Parts: sequence; structure tokens; C-alpha cells
Amino acid sequence: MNSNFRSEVVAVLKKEYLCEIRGKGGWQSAGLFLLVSTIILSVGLAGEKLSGGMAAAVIWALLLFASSVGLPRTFLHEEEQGTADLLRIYADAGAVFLGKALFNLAQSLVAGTILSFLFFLLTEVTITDPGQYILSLLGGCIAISASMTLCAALVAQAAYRSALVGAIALPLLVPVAILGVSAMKTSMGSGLPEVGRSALLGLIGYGVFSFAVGPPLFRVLWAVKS
Amino acid sequence: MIRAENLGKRFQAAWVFRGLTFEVLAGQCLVVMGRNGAGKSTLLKTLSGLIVPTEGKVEANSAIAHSALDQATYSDLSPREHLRFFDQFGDPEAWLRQVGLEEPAWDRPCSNLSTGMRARVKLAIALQSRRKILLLDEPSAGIDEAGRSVFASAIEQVVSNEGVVILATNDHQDRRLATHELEL
Repeated sequence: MNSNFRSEVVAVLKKEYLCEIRGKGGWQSAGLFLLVSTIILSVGLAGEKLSGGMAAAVIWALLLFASSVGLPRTFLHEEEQGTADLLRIYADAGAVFLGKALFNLAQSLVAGTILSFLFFLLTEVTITDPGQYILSLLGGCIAISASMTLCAALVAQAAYRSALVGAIALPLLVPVAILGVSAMKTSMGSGLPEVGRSALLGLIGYGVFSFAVGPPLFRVLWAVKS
Repeated sequence: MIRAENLGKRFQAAWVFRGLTFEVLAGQCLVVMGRNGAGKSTLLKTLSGLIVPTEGKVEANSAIAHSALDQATYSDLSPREHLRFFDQFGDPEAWLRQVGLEEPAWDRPCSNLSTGMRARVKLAIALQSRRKILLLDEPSAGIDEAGRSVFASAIEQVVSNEGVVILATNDHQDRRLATHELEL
């Protein structure tokens, strides 16, 4: 690309948005999944109240699965459509990674907001510390989007990428989920606040680290194709 | 300038090509001929860095643009959006005009364009990058007579501007553009 790094990142972000909004596949699947699973949960609970810890675990499970539907598509689609070579030739790999990761972050934030709205509307769970909840959701979205983008980038060129993405995502996302649940449950009155704050810091640190390490790692990945 | 030295590529046990040594200097056009499956596309991908050679090395003194038949365009993006994506500060209309893509097609999704039109979009992206080394893989496949002359004039322009062109083709008519030839 004839431009600077920042404008390349913005161009990738814009391209992802246009392709996603016109293709609709990922957002529709993730949105439908969130809607259906939250309705099922509220019907199953039928007035019973979830504990803070259980509510946080359910929110995180839903957020992770919603992300796993839509997020990896960004890289896998490039390979499946045959457009990856165009990017590899003309675009900076670091800008491609960052643009895609930021788009995934936006998707995660939208999914997290919709999920929170539906979840608290349809269940009787109450938030005791809104600040902690918002920060743990934000930190979670950063960590999930960065990890998922990294997973998709790692498996994009593999022969059995759709199967591999799950296997690679597991070790990357389990620590995120553990930290996320620990951070979020304190916002709903469960667990120790100090543990929640430490988990929140860990979550944000994990996300920021994954965002930082992604572009140089991806440059190496794209340089090697056998 | 682009130089290949003892270049070889093997997929599993089978060598696609081996021991290729050549150099293409500024202002030259190398036409790579060969039957289907001879390894022309693999050679061009190896030269552009999309594939790592099994042995040998490639040296280039400038960035490489590569337009190939098997490269896909984004089906949901229009030609104008493609050019804007790959150069945020460029003039997409000028390049689309140069490759002979007519204005009504500029804002249509690429999925609605013909093979020949998409080939012109890929050529426009390559030319817009202003890279000195241009690799073209089967540019005349699926292209009408007007499209062929667009590709031919683009090649002549790059060569006359002291650029390097490597053209992989099955079409013997493309030989007239060559300053050098390589048979695989």
C-alpha cells in the first residue's frame, strides 16, 4: 500500500466492515446465537435467581461462543476466498493484523453490549458494581478479540484450519475466561473485590499483550509459506 | 532487477522446477512459456515471495507487484473500493480508466464483474502500487481483444519506464512483448 501504517490499519478496518456488513454471515450467526441462548436460559431459569459467579460464567461462555462464530472468519475468509495473496503482496502484515484485530474488538464489544442488555433484561441478576462489570466486559472483549485474531492468523494457512482453530483457541482462551469470570463475578456480588481487581488487571494486560505481540508475529507468519 | 539463482520448488516428492538461474534487468520483459502444469504460476509465486523455494534464492532490488489469474478480488467490494483500499491517497479513477474499465463498472461489486473485468482490476492494483517489478500470470486468459491491448500497453509502459516485467503465459501471441524468453 502507498500509505503510512495508521492509514493502512484504518483501511483494513474499513474493508472488514464493508465486507462484513455486505456479507452479513458472521454478525447474523453471532447475534442469533446470543438471542436464542439468552431466551433459552431465561425460560430454563423461570424466575430462579442465578448467583453472581454462575451469571458471570454464563455470560463468559456465551461471549466466547459468540466470538468463536464470527471472529476467526476474518483471516479464514481471506484464505478461502483466495484474497490473501493480494493482501500479502500489497499490504503490511502488521497493519493487516491490527486492522482485523480492531474490527474483531468492535464486533466483540457489540456482542458484549447486546449480550449484557439481553441477559439482564431476561434474568433477575443484578449488578452491584457497574464500573467493575463494564471494565471486565471491556477487558474481556480486548483479550478475546486479540486472542481470536491470533488464533485465526496462526491457522489460516493450515490445511484443516476450521478444525485447528478450536484446538489453538483452547489454550489461548481458557486463561482469558478464568480471569474474565473472576473479574466479572465481583461486579455481581460474588467473590472478593481484591481478587476481582487483580483478575481485571490480568485480563487487560493479557489483551494488550496479545494486541502488541500480534503484528510482529503475524509478519513472520506471512513471510513463511511453503 | 530480479535474479533467480539455482531456484527449485518441490511439492512432496515431485519437483515443479529445478536449477533455474536467470536475471531480468531494468527495461526488460521475460516471457515464461510452458504447457499447463509446467510450473509457471509456481515460479512467479516463488519470485514474488508468496511461496518459499525449496532450494536456491531470489534477489530483487525493488518491491514486486504480482497479478495472477488465480488471485481473487473481494466479491463484496467494488473496483473503486479495491483501489482505495490498497492506496488510500491515490486516484483510483485514473487507474481504472488506464486499464480500460468502463465507468458503470467502477462501483459494482466484483462478484458482478466478468473474469476479464476482474483481471483489469488486479492490473490496476498492480500498476497503482508503482512497483518497478511487475509479475503477470496468464494475463490474457479470459480477456477479450481490447483487454489484451490494455495489458500489452501496460507491459510496454512499465518496460519503457525502466521497470521489469515477467510474464507467464500459454499464449504465443504474448511472445512479441518479450525481450527474453524462458521455456519451462
